[in-house]
Amino acid sequence: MITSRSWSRLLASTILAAVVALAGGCAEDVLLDIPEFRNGGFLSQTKPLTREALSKLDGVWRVKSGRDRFGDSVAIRVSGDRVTIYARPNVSYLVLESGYLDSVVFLEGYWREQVNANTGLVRLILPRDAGGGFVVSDGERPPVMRLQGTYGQESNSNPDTDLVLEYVRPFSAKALAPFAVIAHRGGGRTADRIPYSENTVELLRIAERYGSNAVEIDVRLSSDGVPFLYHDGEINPRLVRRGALVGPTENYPYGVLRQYATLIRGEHMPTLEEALNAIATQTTIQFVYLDTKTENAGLIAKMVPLMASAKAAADAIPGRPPLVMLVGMPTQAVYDEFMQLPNPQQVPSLCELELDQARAAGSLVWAPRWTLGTQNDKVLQAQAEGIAAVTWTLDIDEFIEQFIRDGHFNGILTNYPTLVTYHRLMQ
Amino acid sequence: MKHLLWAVTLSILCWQPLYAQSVIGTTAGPMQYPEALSPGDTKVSLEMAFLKMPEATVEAADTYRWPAWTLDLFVGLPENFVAEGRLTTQFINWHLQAGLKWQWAAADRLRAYIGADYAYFIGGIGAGAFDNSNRSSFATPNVSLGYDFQDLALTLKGEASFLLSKTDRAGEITTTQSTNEFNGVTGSVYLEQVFWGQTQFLIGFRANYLKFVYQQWLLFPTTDTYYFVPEFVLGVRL
Repeated sequence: MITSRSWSRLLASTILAAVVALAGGCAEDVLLDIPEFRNGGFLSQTKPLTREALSKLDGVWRVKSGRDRFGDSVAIRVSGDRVTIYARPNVSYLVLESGYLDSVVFLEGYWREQVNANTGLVRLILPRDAGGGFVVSDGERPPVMRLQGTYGQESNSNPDTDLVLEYVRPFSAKALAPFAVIAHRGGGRTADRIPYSENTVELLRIAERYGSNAVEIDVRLSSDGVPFLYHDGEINPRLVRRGALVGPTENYPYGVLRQYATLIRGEHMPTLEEALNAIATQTTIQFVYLDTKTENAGLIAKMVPLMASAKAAADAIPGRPPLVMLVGMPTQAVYDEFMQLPNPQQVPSLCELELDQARAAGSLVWAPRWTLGTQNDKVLQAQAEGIAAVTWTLDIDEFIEQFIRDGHFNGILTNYPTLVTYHRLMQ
Repeated sequence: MKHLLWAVTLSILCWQPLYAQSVIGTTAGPMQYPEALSPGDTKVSLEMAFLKMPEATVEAADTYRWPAWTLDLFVGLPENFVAEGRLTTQFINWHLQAGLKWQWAAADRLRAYIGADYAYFIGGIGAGAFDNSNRSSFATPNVSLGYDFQDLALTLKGEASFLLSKTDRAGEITTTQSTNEFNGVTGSVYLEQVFWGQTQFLIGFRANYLKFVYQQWLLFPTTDTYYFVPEFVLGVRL
């Protein structure tokens, strides 16, 4: 017999069970779709512009309308196959495709704030008299170059908020000096709602759109001896869709990982060979930092011939910048394994340990963590000895600015390559 | 599926009448139910909370799965006021919270607390490559509404979180600082019942929707987004 007390218990337990079940059903919100114009937008009616023509937009621009979102000044630069506008607040940026019609330049794409999920559509026009004619045809830069248009405040809203930019100056020589903007995990963290999962070929192909000219990728070794890209030690729900596999990834043959461990945005874990070939043949990335994530013996020996093969593929492409790939040594155990190679000094490497160890290993790059400071004396000493210096993993706006302003590093490894590029180009 | 099993288990536990006894009016009253305490009266409880950290931020599948332990102290004050102090730890996290509540009897079995707490958080880790720490303070106005079902007490609690200050350090460098930000909200539901003699037990669920979840202070210090962090709570009155 059900008593009133039983009913009260039932009521309470039902409420609690419902709340728990509801909570369990809430999916993590890491999948952010990039907004797109329907039917290709207005660009479907335009003609393509050459990279040389588009590069006339390169420079520092003042924000006349849209400061709330993008700050007072932005940097525009042709980046990979896109025109990218680099801004500072909330690590914001705009990635745009281009075209022209009747000496008017059209730019369409999306904006993003990388520290949150804010994004939206953007449409900008460079009228003929405000620079369009200068970009499309040869001639002199007009006294005032003005990009004008609108952006949407939300992912699915029409672009209806004014955005107006005016050209201020070209980049300084310092801004254009060689510097490695190294994208962490092949372009960023999955958790930052980037377009593709971290450490994938799909992400590597578009890494340059975000200002990177270098990438760091995480390499592990499968149980059957195949080097592949994956960051975490285990099958982790932050990266892999729920499935049959659990535990350390390196306990599985690569074929099993490829078939049964689908990454969260639908990709698979690429082999190192696939990743390096994509970098060599489908990008102009100049520097690859192979972060050796395992201490399983044998990985480095397998990496070396793959690096040589990718370098040969890159060298065979006319006009492609030279590609440098480095074996990363983040721990003493990996360092010890590296030093047991037949001729370690002949293998390009990057050492995260002490500078003396980088010297002993013949490393091309020394990479201390950023929280040790700018270490200008040590960095200059390393450079005097022919060892480049980069620091990792620097994501904090004020420190990126400080390291670029006061430091002498040759590059910065970051999850926010657009922000590092912004500070570089605004010098 | 895991959550469904939890839900079924909790339902069975709550339905189980075999050992249940009257919850109110015993010498060991409920812990979260907003009952009045006579001035000077105290009650102490121990809670164990299992947190589900945001999957997007947990880079090692077995990291941060330790339960959080909380010692909770209530002290009765005049004029229906109650003081509460909570100390929560996960060993690399220490969270001290204290505040005042005013008890209101809306009906014979329907009671409410309205109050505000101040919390100070210390996190630190110095092992391996880590030399990181965090100091943060919060203000958390809160309201609890409880109903006494005679043999079981149901309490709903809502809290707002304001981050008063937050400082991350790596070695000697202050890496991030922020102050005076709205940090999000927490909603809780607690069931309390006497089992096995006069021992008061609590099961509960807390749904945190926060920007800065102090338990994950070491991760993702630069993001500016709300995270959903559910907690399953077990408690016993000491």
